[in-house]
Amino acid sequence: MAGAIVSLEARVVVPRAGFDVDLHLRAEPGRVLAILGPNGAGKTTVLGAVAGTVALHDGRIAIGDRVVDEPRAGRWVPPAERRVGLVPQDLLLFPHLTARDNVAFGLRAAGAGRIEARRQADGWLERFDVADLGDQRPGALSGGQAQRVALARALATRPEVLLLDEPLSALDAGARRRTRADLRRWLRAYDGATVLVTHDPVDALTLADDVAVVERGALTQAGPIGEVAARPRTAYVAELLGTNLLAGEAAGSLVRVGAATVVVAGEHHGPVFATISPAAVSVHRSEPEGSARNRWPGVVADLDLLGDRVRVPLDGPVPLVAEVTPAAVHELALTPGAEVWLSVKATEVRVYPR
Amino acid sequence: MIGRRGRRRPPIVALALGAVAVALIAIPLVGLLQRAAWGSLVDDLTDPASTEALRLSLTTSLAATGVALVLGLPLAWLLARTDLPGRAVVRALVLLPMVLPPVVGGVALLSAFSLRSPLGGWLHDVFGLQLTFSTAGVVLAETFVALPFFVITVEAALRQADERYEQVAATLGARPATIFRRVTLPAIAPAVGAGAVLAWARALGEFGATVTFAGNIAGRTRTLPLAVYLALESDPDAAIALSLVLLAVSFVVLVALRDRWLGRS
Repeated sequence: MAGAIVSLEARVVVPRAGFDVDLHLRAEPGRVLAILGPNGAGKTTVLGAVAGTVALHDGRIAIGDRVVDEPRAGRWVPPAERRVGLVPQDLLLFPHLTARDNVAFGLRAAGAGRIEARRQADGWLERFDVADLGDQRPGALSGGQAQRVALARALATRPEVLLLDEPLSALDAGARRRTRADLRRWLRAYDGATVLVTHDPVDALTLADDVAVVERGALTQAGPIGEVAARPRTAYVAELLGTNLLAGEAAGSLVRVGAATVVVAGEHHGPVFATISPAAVSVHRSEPEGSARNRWPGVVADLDLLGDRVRVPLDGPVPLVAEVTPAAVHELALTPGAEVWLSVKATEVRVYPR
Repeated sequence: MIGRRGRRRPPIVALALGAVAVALIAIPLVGLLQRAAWGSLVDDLTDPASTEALRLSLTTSLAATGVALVLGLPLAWLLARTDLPGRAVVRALVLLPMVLPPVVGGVALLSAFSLRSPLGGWLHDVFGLQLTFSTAGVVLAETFVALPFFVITVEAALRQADERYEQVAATLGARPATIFRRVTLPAIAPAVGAGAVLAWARALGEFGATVTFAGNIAGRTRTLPLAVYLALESDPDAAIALSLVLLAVSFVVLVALRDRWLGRS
C-alpha cells in the first residue's frame, strides 16, 4: 500500500518548555515502531517533526534517501511533499466533508478528478469495513468508525511513512479492544514504515514490532518489543513495559500457548495476546497447592536486579519473567539453573484479541 | 437575598437605569412607526426619487460589500495567520474607520482623490476615472467605512479556527491555495457571511463620508440615507417611509445574525 518501500531515519532535536526533545529513531518498512512514554514526554513533537508541522532545531529526518528536514544543510521539505500519512490523536476529520470526501481529499490534491477520487475513496472505505458510511459527516460517526475513516484518509495517498498519534485513546474500552485487533491487521497489511505514539504499554505490545521508550524528550531504551519487554534496562521501562506477552489461540477460558495451556478468566476465541505482569508470577521450590489455576515447572535462566526488585527470567513450557523481592531470592535460593515451580492466577492473565 | 434559581434579585438602581437605556433606543423607533403615514407608504416608496435612491443604495452597498470581501479576506488571513512585521500597525490602521467620524473619512477621501490631488488627477488623466461626485466614489466611501467590520469579523474567526485541520490537509498533499479553499474557508464560512452582512448594513447606512466625498446628486450619488435627509425638508412623509425601509433592513440583519450575537436565551 505504500508509495515506496523505504525506512525512516530521524534524529529529532526540538526545544520545548522544560526540556529538549533530542532522540534518534529508525523505523523499518513493513514494521511498526511504537514510541512509548508518559504524557508530555515529547512523543507528539517527534511525529510533528516527521510530518513537517514542527520544524527541527537540529538533527535530520530522512525518508529513504530523501532528506526532508536538516537545518544545518538548510533543507526543508513542506508537509505536502513528504509523502507522510498522519492520523492525529483527535483524528481531525474535516467536519464539513462526508467520510467519502474526507478520504478523497488527498486523492483530489494529488490530481485525481472528483469522480475518480470518490470511486477510489469508496474502495478504501470498503477496505476498512465502513463502505456504508461514505455519505455520513464525521459528526455522525462513532469513535471506532471515525478512526477507520481517518486511517483510510491517511493511507489513500499511499504514504511512505504512516504516523499514528495515540490511535486508540479516544475510544471507550469496548471499542478499543475491537479496534486494536483490526488496527493490528491493517498495519500488518501496510508495507511502509509505521510510527505509532502511545502512552499505553498494551498498545505497544499488541500493535508494534519495535519500541522506543521516551522519557522527557530522551530515548530510554529501544529495540524489538519482545527484547525490550524481556530485558528492560531501567526500572522505568520494567515498570512500563516489562510484562510477559504470550501469543496463543483462545478457546473459551483456555489459551493454548505452544504446547502449554493457560487458564484465563472470561471467554475468548481465536488468536489472542495474553499478558501477565511479572509481579503476578509466583515462584515456588515445589509444586504449589492453592487456588492458582496455572502451574508450570521452570528453570531459573538469570537474575536481574532492577531497583528494589529482582526480575527472574524462567525457562519452561511457558517462558515467563517473574518479579520477586531480593529477600525471596535468598529464601528460595534462586540461582541460575535452579528448578522451580511457578503459578499464576487465571484472573491475573489479561487477554487481547490479536 | 437569594431569589429563585439562586439568582440575586437585581438592585433597583440598575433596573431603573437599564430601563432608561432601553427607552432611549425604543422611544425614537416607536416615534418613527407612529409618525409613519401608512396609507401613502406605497406611494411614497414608489415615487421615482425614492426608487432611484433605493436602487442606487442597493447597487453601491452590494458593490462595496463585494470589494470588502475580495480585499478583506486576504487581509484578514495575513493578519491572523502570518507574522509579517507591522501587523499591529496595519490592524490599527484598518480598524480606524470604525472609530473615525464618517465626515472626517469623507474629507480624507476628498483630500486624496479629488481632481486637484495628485492621485485623483492621475486617475482621471490616465483612466478617465473621477471618484468625486460619482457613483464609484460612493462605492469607495462605503467600502472605506465597511471594510473594517468585515476584516475584524473574519480575522477573529481565523484566529479561532483550528489550524491543525490545515496541517492535516498539508500532509495529504494539498497546496496552500487548495487548503484555503477546501479547509479554511468552509471553517470560517459563517464568519465570512456575518462579516459580509455587517459590512453591507454599514455600507447601506453610510451618510457622512458619502455626502462629503461624493456629494448629493440625484441618480448618481444620492443614496437612501441622503434621500432621507433631503426629503425631511420637502416631504417628511417620504423621509419617514424611506427611514422605515432602512429600519426594516437593520431588523432583518439583526435577525439573520441573531445566533452570533443574541445567543439563544
